[in-house]
Amino acid sequence: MSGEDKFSSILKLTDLDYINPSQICIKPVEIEKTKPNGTSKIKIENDGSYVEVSEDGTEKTLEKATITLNDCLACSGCITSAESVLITAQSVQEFLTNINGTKTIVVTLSPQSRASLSNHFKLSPISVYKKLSTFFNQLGINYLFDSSFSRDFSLLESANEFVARYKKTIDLPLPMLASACPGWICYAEKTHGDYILPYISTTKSPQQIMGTLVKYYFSEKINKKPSDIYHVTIMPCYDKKLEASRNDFYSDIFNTKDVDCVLSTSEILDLFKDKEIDFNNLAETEIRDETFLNYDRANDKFIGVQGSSGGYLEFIYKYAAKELFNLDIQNKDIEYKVGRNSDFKETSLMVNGEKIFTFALAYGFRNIQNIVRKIKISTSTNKHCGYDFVEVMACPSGCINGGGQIKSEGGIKDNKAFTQDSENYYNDQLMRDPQNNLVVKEIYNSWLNGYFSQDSNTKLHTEYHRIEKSTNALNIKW
Amino acid sequence: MPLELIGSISDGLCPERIWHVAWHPSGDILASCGNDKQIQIWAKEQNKWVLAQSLEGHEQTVRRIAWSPNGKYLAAASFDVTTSIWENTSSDPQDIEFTHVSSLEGHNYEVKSVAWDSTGTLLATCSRDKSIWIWEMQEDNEFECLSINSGHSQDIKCVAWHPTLELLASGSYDDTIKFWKDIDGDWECLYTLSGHTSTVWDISFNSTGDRLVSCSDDRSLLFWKYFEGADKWKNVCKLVDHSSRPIFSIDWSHLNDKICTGSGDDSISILEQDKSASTADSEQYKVTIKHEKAHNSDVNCTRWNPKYPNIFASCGDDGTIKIWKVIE
Repeated sequence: MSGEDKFSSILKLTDLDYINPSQICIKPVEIEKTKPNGTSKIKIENDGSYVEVSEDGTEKTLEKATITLNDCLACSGCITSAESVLITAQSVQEFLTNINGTKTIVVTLSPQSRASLSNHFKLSPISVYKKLSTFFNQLGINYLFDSSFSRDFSLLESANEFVARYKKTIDLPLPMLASACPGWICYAEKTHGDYILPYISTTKSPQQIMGTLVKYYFSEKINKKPSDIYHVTIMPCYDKKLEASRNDFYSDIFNTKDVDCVLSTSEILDLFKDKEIDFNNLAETEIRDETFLNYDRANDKFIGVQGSSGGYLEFIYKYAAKELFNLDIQNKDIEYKVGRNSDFKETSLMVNGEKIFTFALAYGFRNIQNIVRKIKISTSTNKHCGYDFVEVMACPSGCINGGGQIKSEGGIKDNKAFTQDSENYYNDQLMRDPQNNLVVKEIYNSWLNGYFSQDSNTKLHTEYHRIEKSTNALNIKW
Repeated sequence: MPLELIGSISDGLCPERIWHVAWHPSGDILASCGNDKQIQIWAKEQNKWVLAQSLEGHEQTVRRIAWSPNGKYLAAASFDVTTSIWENTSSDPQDIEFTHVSSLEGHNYEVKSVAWDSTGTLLATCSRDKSIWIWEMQEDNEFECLSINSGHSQDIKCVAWHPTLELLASGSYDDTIKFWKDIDGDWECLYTLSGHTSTVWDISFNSTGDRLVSCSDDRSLLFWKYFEGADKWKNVCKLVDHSSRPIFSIDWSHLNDKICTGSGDDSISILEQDKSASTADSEQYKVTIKHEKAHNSDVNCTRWNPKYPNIFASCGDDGTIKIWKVIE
């Protein structure tokens, strides 16, 4: 499968013509020519390379223009896409090259990737983690963290951001739209711009919060500079590579990215193949230190939250009910009204028969369209769009079905059942309210100065940028 | 059998290039669109076609337009990446007073075609962005997106609904025709028809929906028939070199089964099935009229009047709309 196929469909549809940058990329690049003043011709060889032929007949192969992932993110031409771009930035090859250096290597494993590997190898999530530890130890990797841990921060910040928006203590509108899905963010920035961006939660995704924690909190604990750590994440989603490449997540001062390299779950399989690893028969390394892991030692299980796309809706719903209306619904199941397709669900909080607020889940491109449409219409008519929070995810079925996950070999129909199996493995964990995570609590006290504080806003929140659309593509005549 | 020109609109109100014409279901109103970004609605007064209303709002060429089956709504696909919906808000249905009621956004590049299904509740749009969007019309003229389908590898030129079923066909620059259907809430591609060697410009179902005809940049017409037992659409007739230039338009009359085509060689043709020469697996269609120089430039669109048999409209790059009658 090529890199292009792994991106979420939202990015593929956003794209101009889905052609490699070498063919239609509109980004201007400089190519060094040998004789700027002489007359020369350029001919194209059979292999597609460009050769400059000078007047005296000497030939010189011209260098290929290279485009970085960052160029692509800042450009409205196409999302790209091209594997060649990704290979130079975020790949197994890049990962293997970097782990052989002098840096401390930290790998963060997402719970969705863990579930996908569990399903593929038919192993419990805890076994997957312990075997991965063995494998990564052999590669010289120092730490294997769990993004459920950083997700607790993301959930707490999102919930407090929602409460602030609801109480109008900050100047940002409702509905608040979840921000953890990079495909959705990229799409919103490139196609909807000013209309939609204020609605998107400013809270960073679990991946990027882990990036901040690893480079600026953990680094101090181990007496390293941020740039002395090489931080790799394993994600269910190819689009996460784009997220990690954003300028917002790069520090000029420390000259380092919060997340240096993102590998998809399926790329981990490639890595096993490459290293000729029989994963099922690897020894299991016991967990010694559970910092940066949501791990329950007594039960030997991982701890997480309900919902394989991060559980944003459920947590914020219950947190806001308590904070805003002093309603304790912690242990109540949320009843959803399912829309026309199972990727759209909504639920309302009722108090004394009155609807207080309405939350929705909108997964997949079509449901995102309908939400965006409702918000646009409500903005122009100055009416409430009907929702107060929407958990938006680009992929149908959400993150567990991300483009970077291991696919079943039996085609689309089979993949639905396979995704359900992954979901079951995902749920093989203990559930805990992020407020009860003592390590998180400690970091909030000592490093962030409380929920949604000035410090947490600096460290755990981000910004979105409208990308101007170039209009030249609209000059088509037929 | 000759063609008689029974009406013509070229009074300076038309754009230089007219892309599409669409008959109102009543057969007495004609809408047209073109590169002036407008939609024009023409009504017949005595023996003359007069401009009843000009609909403005699009920022780029309007490529195709479609009437809802009840004639109350008009949808327009534009290169400005939107599809506009207009409603006749006049209290007297005979009057023409269209108001813009909705704008469908989402396509990322030029919208090329739009079509209402037979019930008037579903609307399909297709685009150069290679996707097909299916919308459902709801109360208050609001639209909900039901599906976004990718499958074509290139620009999609046209969409057409089956005359009775919730089945959509599309033709593309990737030379194929695809059929789409709702399967448990997801629209999926059921069949892909390959046969053309260049862009499929237009497609049309016959009245019963068991045949489809397609025209192409490869200058051929292909006839497809649905075989229920095999659950397959098969090519049953191929007319190669039907024209010396690309064929841009085709329409299968639901009143009398005649087929009209418009071509880049400025001609219009009328075809009919030769039933005596047709078998279950192979059918014959013959050109009964070939009218050269029907327009002074490319013929972009030919459409049968839905109410009056043998009448059709055509438009082209010469900025004129013509109404024709097939004399039998």
